[in-house]
Amino acid sequence: MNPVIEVRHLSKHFGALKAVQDLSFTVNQGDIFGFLGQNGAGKSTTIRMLLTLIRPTAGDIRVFGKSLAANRTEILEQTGAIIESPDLYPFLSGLANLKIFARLGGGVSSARQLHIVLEQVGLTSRSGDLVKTYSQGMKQRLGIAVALVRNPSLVILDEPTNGLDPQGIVEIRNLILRLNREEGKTFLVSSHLLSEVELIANRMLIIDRGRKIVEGEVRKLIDPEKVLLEIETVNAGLASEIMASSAWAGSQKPTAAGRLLLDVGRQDIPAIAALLTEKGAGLLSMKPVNSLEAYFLSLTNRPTYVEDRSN
Amino acid sequence: MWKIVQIELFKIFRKPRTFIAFAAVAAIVGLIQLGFFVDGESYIQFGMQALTDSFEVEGKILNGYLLAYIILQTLLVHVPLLIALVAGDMISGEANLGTLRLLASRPVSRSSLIIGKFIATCVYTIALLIWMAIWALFISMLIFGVDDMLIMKSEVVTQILREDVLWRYAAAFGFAALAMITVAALSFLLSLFAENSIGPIMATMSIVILFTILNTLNLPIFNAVKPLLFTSHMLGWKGFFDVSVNQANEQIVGSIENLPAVLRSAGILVLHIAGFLWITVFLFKRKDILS
Repeated sequence: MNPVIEVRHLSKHFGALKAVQDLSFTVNQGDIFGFLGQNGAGKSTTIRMLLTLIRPTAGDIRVFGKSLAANRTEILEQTGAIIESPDLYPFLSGLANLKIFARLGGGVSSARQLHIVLEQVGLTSRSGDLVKTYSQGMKQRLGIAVALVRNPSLVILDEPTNGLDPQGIVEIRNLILRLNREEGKTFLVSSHLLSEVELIANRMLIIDRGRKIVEGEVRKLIDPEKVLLEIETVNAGLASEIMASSAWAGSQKPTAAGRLLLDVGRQDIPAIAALLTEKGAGLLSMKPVNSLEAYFLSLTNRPTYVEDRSN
Repeated sequence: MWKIVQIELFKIFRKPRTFIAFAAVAAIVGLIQLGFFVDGESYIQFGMQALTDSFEVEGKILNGYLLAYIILQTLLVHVPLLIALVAGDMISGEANLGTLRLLASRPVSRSSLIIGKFIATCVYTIALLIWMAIWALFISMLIFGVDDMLIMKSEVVTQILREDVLWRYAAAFGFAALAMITVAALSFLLSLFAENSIGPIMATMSIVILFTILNTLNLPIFNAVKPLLFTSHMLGWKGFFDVSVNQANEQIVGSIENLPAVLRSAGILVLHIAGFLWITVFLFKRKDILS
């Protein structure tokens, strides 16, 4: 696997705030790389450093095997990106916005390329309208079109499904998968929608408070037999006592009042339900939390950071 | 670079705020012309009273050339606000829209981006002055006709022959462009520090007003710095209307009384422009784009 992005010991401090600390990870060619973290975890700061918008305090970034600092223009010619919200010129049409960003740097994108990209994101019919008339979802689609318009081999998408309706989310997900499969594009996708990353990413990185928690292949990291179980009962205090004295005593996770959160095996669910009912806790509902979300929560609740468990 | 300039010009001239300045210039000049068209003769007679008491003055004193001079004197004090309206928005406006991060993540150098934006700002400034020239000079010439130009100063009246005037206006507008580009460069620099255009516009005007006040205060403490302030040189265009005379006290056609002073003022303005632009590029290259 050829590494496309190699980040080594990257740090960014804003005064006393350590936004990113000693972060290292690798994105390989052909990856759809999920970049996960809570709000304020340092995802956007890292992406901004990858796009040379901010200067690292320490560390090294190599893209396509070359130092980003020394080969900025050459690297950005092969990179498309949207960063956070897709802010564009509201007083121009979607097509005019697309043309502007297509023309900046490198050769000129052909009219055909513009048409293809607009069709890919489903904006052909509204491309002549002013962006200020667009919905949030349409702006998001246009932002993705801007990222793709120069046919880059590396695409960095920060929260690409923000503001999209369910149909739009599926379309963008399919577009990413298709461009990855058919054109071999490498994607780095950051998202707070953990289920999205789970559905499209082959590798992922989770960061918290600016530091790496884990990096590796999604299918290896997530055990399909493990589940985070959210339980709602009539008597939450009693339910908690019951579980504390049961075989699953160590599996309780901190959660909102009135609910229990258990990190258990999928096969344990019937036995837990039977136990709570038998002991009179008044079981109302049991909901398995999405597996990646469970994984994310189980990791970020840890008091200490874990090292790279990939490969 | 040319591509960036084209894109920036496209954006400038698609923003409604750009045309506020053009509309304001047309409206103000139109109003002055209307005022002089209705009441100009009596105004000029009143102003020339001391002269006409002693001399017989023939010809069309209130003509397009004189009116253009009056308009320029009045307007060039206020035009900096109209310049700052666009120049102060060039970087801060992008930060406000959130497009600065998109621009800065494209494969163009930050220096090219800033210089391209500045060139586009200069084009806007020059376009505004050409617009002003059309209204203040050419339309005044159409309405009021042309004749020799009389300029009244506190102790001197300068008469410039009609065939000796137009080139002076060309030079004066060229100089005015330099002065306004200096204001644009300052506003452009200030827009680097803000995330909306109000701050840079207000800061630019505050600096222009402060420096202008310093110029008018005849205090020794300020006299040393006055020659260094760009506002001291912004009205240097008037030098093109000071004519040399020969020993017989007859004006020399095509002459400028104190050309070195005009050139020195122009040079100081150029230095200010270069300085402001250099600082902008230097800071922008090191700026963390967080907007």
